[in-house]
Amino acid sequence: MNELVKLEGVSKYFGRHAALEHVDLTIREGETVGFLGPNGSGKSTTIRVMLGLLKKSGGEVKLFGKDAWTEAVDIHKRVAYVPGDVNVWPNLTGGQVIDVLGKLHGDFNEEKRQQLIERFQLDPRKKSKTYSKGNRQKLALITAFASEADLYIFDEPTSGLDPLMASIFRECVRELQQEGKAVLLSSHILAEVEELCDRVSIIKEGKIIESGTLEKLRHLTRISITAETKQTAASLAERSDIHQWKADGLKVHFYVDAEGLAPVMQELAAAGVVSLESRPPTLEEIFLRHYESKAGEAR
Amino acid sequence: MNMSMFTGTGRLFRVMLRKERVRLPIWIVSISVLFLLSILSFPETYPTQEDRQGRALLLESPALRAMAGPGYGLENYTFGAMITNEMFLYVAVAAAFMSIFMIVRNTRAEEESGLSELVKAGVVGRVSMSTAAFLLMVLANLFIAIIIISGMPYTIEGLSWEGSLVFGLGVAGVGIMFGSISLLMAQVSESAGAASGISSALLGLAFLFRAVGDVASVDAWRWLSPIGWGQAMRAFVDERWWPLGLFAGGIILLAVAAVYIDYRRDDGAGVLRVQGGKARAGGGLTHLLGLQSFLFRWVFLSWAAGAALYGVAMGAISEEAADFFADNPIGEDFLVQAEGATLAESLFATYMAFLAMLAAGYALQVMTKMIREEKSGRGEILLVQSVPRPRWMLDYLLISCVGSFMLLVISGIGAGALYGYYTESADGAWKVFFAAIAQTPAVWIFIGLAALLMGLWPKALSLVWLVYTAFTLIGLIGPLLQLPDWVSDISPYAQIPGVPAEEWTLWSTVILLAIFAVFTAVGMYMIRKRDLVI
Repeated sequence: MNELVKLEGVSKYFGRHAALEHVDLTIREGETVGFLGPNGSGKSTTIRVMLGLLKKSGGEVKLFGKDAWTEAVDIHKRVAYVPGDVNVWPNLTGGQVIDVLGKLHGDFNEEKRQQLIERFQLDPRKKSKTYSKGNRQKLALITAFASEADLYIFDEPTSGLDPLMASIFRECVRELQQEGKAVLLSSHILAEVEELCDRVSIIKEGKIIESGTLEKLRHLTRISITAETKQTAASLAERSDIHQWKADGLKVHFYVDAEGLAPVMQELAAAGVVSLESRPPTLEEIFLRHYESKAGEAR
Repeated sequence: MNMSMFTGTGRLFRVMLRKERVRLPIWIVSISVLFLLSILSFPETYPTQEDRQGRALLLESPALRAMAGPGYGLENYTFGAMITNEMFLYVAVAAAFMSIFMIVRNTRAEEESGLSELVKAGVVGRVSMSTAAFLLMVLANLFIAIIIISGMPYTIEGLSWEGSLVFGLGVAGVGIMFGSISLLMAQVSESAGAASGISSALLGLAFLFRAVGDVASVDAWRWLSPIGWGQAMRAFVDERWWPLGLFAGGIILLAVAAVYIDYRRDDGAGVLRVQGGKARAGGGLTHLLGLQSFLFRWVFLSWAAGAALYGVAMGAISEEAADFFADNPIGEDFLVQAEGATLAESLFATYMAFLAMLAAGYALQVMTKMIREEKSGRGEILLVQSVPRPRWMLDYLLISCVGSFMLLVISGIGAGALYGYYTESADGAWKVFFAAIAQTPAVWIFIGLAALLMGLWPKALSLVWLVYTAFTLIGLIGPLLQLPDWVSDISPYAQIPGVPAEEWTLWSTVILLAIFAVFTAVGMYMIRKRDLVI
């Protein structure tokens, strides 16, 4: 598949402070990539380096095979971007802002514009200064979704949206996916990324700490099991691949390493399993686990 | 209403004090200390009573009356009377500006940015923010008064304590009065820009009313203006205390009204209702220059109104003023000197330098907006719509260059037409008009400097205001301070020959325009080479 975005060993220094260190990131055609990390971890900085708003200190940044810094304007024509903090001109109405930005971008679909205003329930006649954060975010989202582009970049797009609007956002992203567009979704809302993304990169303090498909990430980690047995299965607690063992009579809950799943299942079956619930780890669990382990190492 | 609406005022006051710990002292010290320094040179400039009486004669001229004081104590023009007549106005206006900006940035601007929402959600009364800002503003003005009052008697021998006290309190009175006006405006209007804009306009109106009152010696006009109240205290001439009552009454009325509205209204809302706007952007808005011109339309129109007013005033008083100078040769010191120039021409040459400062003020307001756009993220969202950075900068350059040129044209037409009408001389009208537009390169140099900084060192863009203020001050009070020639000569204003009194020269214009072009080109080139300020 064609690589639309390729970041290789990208670093960015602000004075002596390293905001990004050796960041690698690839987005291929038709792919949705999740970009996860807590606030201040370098998500927005990475995106701004990709868009040629900030100049990389090292490494290579290519979008559509072009250099992000020297050919930024050409790149922008094929990108639709929604910044994390949308600020617009307070004296223009919402409708005016959408038109201004859309027409400047170029390829702007009038029909989609109207539909999106209705779907996001935006009153386009209000002056922007009266809009809440969420409504200002809608302005940028409507502009982006109504613009024809090859790559859509969203920087924490739902942080100001209510759950209903956030689900409309997810719908719109799925439509983009059906059209075969590439999407970069930066977020700290794991459920959102889990639902939409093919691949995930996790960034922490300017470094990519985990990267791959969701399946692969899950494979590396533990599965949650809740079970009830006829006879006690307490011997399981001795196993080294079982974690966070909790027993309530014959009801048990624990996590098991992916490789240990088969023998554990056999033991549970032998104990006469009555009910069994197994759940792959949520991204949240992957995420938290990573942070806990790193914090542990540091200690 | 109950007292809980004031809860937390003390804490908020301390927070504001901390937030303002650099900015406010700079204002206070510049206003009071600059004033004290500027009067130091008076005894040297006017060593004898005769010199001072000569200076007093100047104030008989309507033009100088309008720009200075009411003309109290002219018959025995002491240093004290001189300071009251010629300086009070400017110190008071500076204190008023300090108060307006301080109030707005601590009240309405905080609401606009959403910070007040966070603050007001805490254990804080509904009007505590307004009250804390008001108290800080009063305190700042009292500090100015204290420095002035305690410093003045030491600057020139013979300045009385009583006069200094009246002078200082008058300044504080005007400052607090306009601070209170802006506190009210911050409640009424929905944006910080509008609040400080309306307050500044009212300050301009107060200046105008007392100018009319002073020129025509009509008291009714003077009483319409709080600046007039301060002048009516007649420091060092025949001190009167009762105008302090007017200040007290006005301030209490305004503050109570502001607090009342603040108590009644929603956070973030104003009193003036916002009506529904257009759902679509017209064709003019959807290209970049159209958008930027739209955003700057009110800025330009208000400066244009000022420029037109200034031009008309120049033209209207020129003949009368020239007659006056013909009778009182001592005033010529203050005018551009040139062989064979008429007095009216010299007068225009001096006025034109002020016009250039006005046009440069507009130009810099446009140029410095760039960095605020960039910092707020509005620049970012435009630039990612495939707008090249130099193209983005070009619009600001066009709007400031063309706009400032138009200000000069508007003012030149006003002054030229009236002057031509009075003197029945088409040639005279043309000369005056040409003198106005000849200022263009001096104005554009500031634009070039702003463009250069924007490319090389955007975070320091506001330095252009410092340069502008320095050169403007040198232009305004340089002759009074008797600065060495080289100091006043580095100012761009001084590089333009004093037309129409002096001969216009092509080379000085070409050189200034060349510098402007180089600065601008470097700025436009370098803006592509740097990080966006985010």
